[in-house]
Amino acid sequence: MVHSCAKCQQRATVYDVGGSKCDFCFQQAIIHNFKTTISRKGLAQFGDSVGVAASGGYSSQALVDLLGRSLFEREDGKTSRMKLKVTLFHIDFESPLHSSNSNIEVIQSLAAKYSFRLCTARDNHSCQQLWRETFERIAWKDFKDTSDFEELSRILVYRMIAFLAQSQGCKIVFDGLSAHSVCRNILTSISSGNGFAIPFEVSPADISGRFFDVAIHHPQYDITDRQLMRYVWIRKIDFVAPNLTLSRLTASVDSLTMSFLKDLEEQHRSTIPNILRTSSKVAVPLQFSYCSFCRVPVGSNGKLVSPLTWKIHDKKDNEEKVVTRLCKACQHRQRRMSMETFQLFLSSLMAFDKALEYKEDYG
Amino acid sequence: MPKVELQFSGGLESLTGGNKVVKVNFSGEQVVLEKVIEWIRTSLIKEKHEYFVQGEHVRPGILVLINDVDWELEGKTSYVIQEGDCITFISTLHGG
Repeated sequence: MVHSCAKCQQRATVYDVGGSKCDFCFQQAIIHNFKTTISRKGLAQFGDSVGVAASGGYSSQALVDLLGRSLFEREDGKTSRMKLKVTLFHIDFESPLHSSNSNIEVIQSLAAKYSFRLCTARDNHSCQQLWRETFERIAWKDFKDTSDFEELSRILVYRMIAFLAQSQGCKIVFDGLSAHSVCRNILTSISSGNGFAIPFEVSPADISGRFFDVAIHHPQYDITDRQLMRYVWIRKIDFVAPNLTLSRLTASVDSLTMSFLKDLEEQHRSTIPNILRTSSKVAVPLQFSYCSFCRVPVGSNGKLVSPLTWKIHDKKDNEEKVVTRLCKACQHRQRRMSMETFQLFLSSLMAFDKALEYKEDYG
Repeated sequence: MPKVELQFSGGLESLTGGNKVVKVNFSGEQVVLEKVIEWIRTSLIKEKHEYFVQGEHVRPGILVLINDVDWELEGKTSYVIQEGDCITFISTLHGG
């Protein structure tokens, strides 16, 4: 039996929510969703300088291609009215989790197609310094499982992206978080005791101010993993895939949660929309502060830890006592690491945040 | 004996020894996709089977395409493979 496209009645090739579609109509639907999110949620305005967090994975590659097509194409063949100055930001340090060299080539190829600039962390002194002080110095034996590797990577990477964006005059960054990733973040926030963060996780616009002047938005927040991968496949876009022989499905809270979501979705197709819809009903708190470690917004359950003495990186090399606040997840993280490792990370991250806040160099 | 091309992507190629494309001849007249999946699980993938299958079914989160068409539109596991078919398995379990 041949299925027809719900829109144009041509042969359907993509099984999609809202009716099966042909390749062309599916792509048009994704582009429309993408552009609508940017305009309705106010993620960027005409003429803005926008950064894109480009890891080389299928989600961020889809983001780059969607942005490129949104800026240069229109269905009626006329020039697009969306005008943004786009720079891609890529963290190209090697870590035990990532192979960096192949990532950059796939990103460069797509960046060249749309004449987007590419800026990497290795070219930035401050990012290099942060990397040297954290990932290159920690004792990996201190970590109990890959959850901490992944989460620390993410904590570092987002800060570096914000720093790179600021250095290039971008106050807005788009990341490739999909609907599944947003839902995973919501569920892991709940399970780790960070329910306070839900309204910030579910919002496509960054309303937290966690990275000071730089806002990291999620324009693909209601496009599913399946749709993004399907889009990338139809467009024949190269992407970097993980080496599954080096990982375990049960190794981290993130991968367990994602696996749970996909299992549930197999039986209940509305799982993802339901999580997004329900989470969006949680009111945004009026007052909050930030976890000193991961910068997630925290309310009254963020524990104040003992004052931490650390040297700020100024010309006079002064010592300053600072009081740090940790979210529930970072409190658990602290217990899983050696105190030395945790303090190393914490002091470097806080100093980096200070440099980010005051637009100074770090290190 | 239909000869088909199996493609693996999204990280699944790391489970097939780095081979993104595998060409196979299946014996028998009416070979259904279920048999192909069983063959992949038992003969092609040597480790980390849990990334490909969950019990006897393809793991949720893996896209299956038959000649670049979603398998849901082609009858899923009951699809009878034809000579020259291209079956693609793509994992979406690790985002990017």
